[in-house]
Amino acid sequence: MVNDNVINDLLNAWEETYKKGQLTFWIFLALKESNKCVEDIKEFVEKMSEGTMSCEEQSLYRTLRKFQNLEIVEYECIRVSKGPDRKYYHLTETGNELFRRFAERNILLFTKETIINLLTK
Amino acid sequence: MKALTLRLGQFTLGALCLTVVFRYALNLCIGMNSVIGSLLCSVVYFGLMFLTGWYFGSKDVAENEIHDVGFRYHFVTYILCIGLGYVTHYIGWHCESLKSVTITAISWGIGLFIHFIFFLFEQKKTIKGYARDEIFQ
Repeated sequence: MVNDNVINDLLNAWEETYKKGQLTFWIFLALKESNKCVEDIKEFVEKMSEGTMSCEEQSLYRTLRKFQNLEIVEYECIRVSKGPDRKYYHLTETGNELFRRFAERNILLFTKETIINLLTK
Repeated sequence: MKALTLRLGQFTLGALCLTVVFRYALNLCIGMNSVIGSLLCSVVYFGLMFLTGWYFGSKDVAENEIHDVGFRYHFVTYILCIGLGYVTHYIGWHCESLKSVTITAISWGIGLFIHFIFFLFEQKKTIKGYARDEIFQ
């Protein structure tokens, strides 16, 4: 008999481990779609991951600053009618190539028919 | 690696002020032949420098995640202390003899060099100053 509580505990433990490092993937995906400010990235991540991923704006700022120093992302300041200028981030050439290779090696294999069949079996 | 950060700049300014005040206070104490005053100045200076480095260094690590094993802060402290040691000697403050400053510069310089070797060794584990296993966390 399936013990639902045990499965939930195991699922939470697995997800905690699985989600480590996933924020990077979602940030890249958000910026692949279009240039975005931190608020837009946060909204994209939460919406597209159907609420399975959440992130604090502070954490996003810290990550984006690091990526900027690593020349993975760049930003341009856009003037807005209210408040200070907003930073709109985009992937650099390095960032785009990095994401392309990462997706090719780690994500696209999940689109193979044999794997999809196993996932939906 | 982004070596020059805002926090390092703030530390440099703070350390510069502390070192100038310390050297001046030491100059006065030595002028008055006050051993206790000189010792007190040194202890307070050491404590404040340690706290300043700790405060700005911790913030620097939290904000910029630069993995430099504290070398940048050590280097700035060395330049300030030794540099001001020579400057105060040449402007006539009674802090340290030229020989004393030079001996400190050489012995501390050896320590700094060893720290630099560690820094280079640690840099091999990083990409542009960021620890490899922390970049995509």
